[in-house]
Amino acid sequence: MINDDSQLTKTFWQYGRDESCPIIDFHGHMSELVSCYLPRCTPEAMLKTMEQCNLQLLIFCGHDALFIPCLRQQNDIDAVRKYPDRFKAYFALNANTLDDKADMELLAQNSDIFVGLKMLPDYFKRSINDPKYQAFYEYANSTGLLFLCHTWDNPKSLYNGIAQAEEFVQKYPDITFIAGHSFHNKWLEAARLCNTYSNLYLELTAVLDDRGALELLLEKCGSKKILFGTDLPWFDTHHGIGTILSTDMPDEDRKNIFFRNGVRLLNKFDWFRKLWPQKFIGL
Amino acid sequence: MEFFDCNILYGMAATKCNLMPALDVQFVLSSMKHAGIAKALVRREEQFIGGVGIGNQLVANDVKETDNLWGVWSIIPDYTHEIPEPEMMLTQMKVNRIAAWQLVPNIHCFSLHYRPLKPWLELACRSAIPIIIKLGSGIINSALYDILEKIPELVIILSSENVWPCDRNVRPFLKEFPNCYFEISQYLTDGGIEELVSFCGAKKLLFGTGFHQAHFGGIMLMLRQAQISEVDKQLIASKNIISIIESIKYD
Repeated sequence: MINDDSQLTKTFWQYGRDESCPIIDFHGHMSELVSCYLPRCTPEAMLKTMEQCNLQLLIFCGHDALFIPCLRQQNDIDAVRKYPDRFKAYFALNANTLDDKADMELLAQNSDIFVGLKMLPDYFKRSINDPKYQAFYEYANSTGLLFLCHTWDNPKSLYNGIAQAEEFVQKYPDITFIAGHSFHNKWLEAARLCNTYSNLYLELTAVLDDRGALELLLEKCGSKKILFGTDLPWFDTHHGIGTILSTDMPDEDRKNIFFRNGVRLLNKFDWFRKLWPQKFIGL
Repeated sequence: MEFFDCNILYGMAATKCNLMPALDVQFVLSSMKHAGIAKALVRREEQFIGGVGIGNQLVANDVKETDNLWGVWSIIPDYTHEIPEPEMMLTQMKVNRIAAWQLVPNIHCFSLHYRPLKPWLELACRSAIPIIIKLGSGIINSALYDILEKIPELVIILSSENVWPCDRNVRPFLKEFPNCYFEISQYLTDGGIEELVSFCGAKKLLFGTGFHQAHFGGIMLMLRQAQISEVDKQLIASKNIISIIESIKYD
């Protein structure tokens, strides 16, 4: 049964979900993707998965928001409007296609939809610190938005590696920088940044299929700045949960990762305090 | 539910530094016990990085005295006589608890083609020996299609090189060839198991974890909670691979 020592494991094993352990996923997507087939990529199909795991909140950026800029992120806006209690969106930023004025208006006028920014610098071949983004970062810094950034530094990246992220978090201390994939493979450097900068968090998508990586991050930085994420609808949420249940740590650390760290991070937002069951705040 | 893990790798890899290596078979067995994995098909890192003959022998040494592990041997064209000759192979496999072959042409430096592999492919077909092939790891799909067009009855256990959703690549094999199976250690696609079962039936899927590179629990929980019948789960978890192994004609 994976791990007999854990009460959480027993519950997830039996029921697939644990009522005392809601989950917040900080790294989601939505809609189809050109390079692979994703069976459950509609909001409704994703909600089905979310129900099965007690995944209460998914913060996502749709593939079409990232890769089909002419759609103006409308599908993400529609999904959040339709299911405001379960989805919030990251605003997709891509310097190749950014319309400074119109995109800033879109972001600012939909503050109930977009709770942060999202970027894939390696994909777009534009650095996190590209000057084109400056106005958006200043807006995010002044409003305390999240910033989920694809971080991967193996092979060494010119766009979203350790060096670029470190420059960014120093410059924008009020943006919560969520290092998507935790600088994959540069685990020690990821831990150093996490321990050095209070506004930098590590996120677990693609970390969890690498046995030993989470153990190393826990050893170096503890469990309080690690956020759960799965790339849903790419990867089965139960796979992520099961891997964390397999990793040697107390259930209290698992709860930090599954939801407590997220609650602490999001509790500054009015929308979250209205949304999230009070019984879980402060747990 | 009994779990039979079709993809366990362990040993000491000279050219890479695993974060949490399972260095020997004793560690594998104790880890399996802790996670609730009853049986496994195992390979060693040394088969990929050391030598084919030595690597195969190390696996045999580890599994032949166990009652819940079966080994996988690497197969290379027989022209260099580095592994048992085809006529001796079945006996050697039986003695050593070897229940599958693997073809790794990119690492072992040969062509995945019917001609150089002909004696092995014919033997595999006659004796129902499963052949593990990892799609994407230097395997050109068309080469595999060519082989299967010639010998469609081959028992092939496909797996994926990485976690990138692979339905477009895998589904044609599962549908077009009666004895192609898919080992799911890298298949993390949300809702994927449910769709594959609906597409080709649970009999085509095999449980595997990819331990020591991955934890046991991810795929275990994914299968346990998949929205398919308990009967289908049990087929995937262990019954399919047991049936494949029991079908090998060693004698």
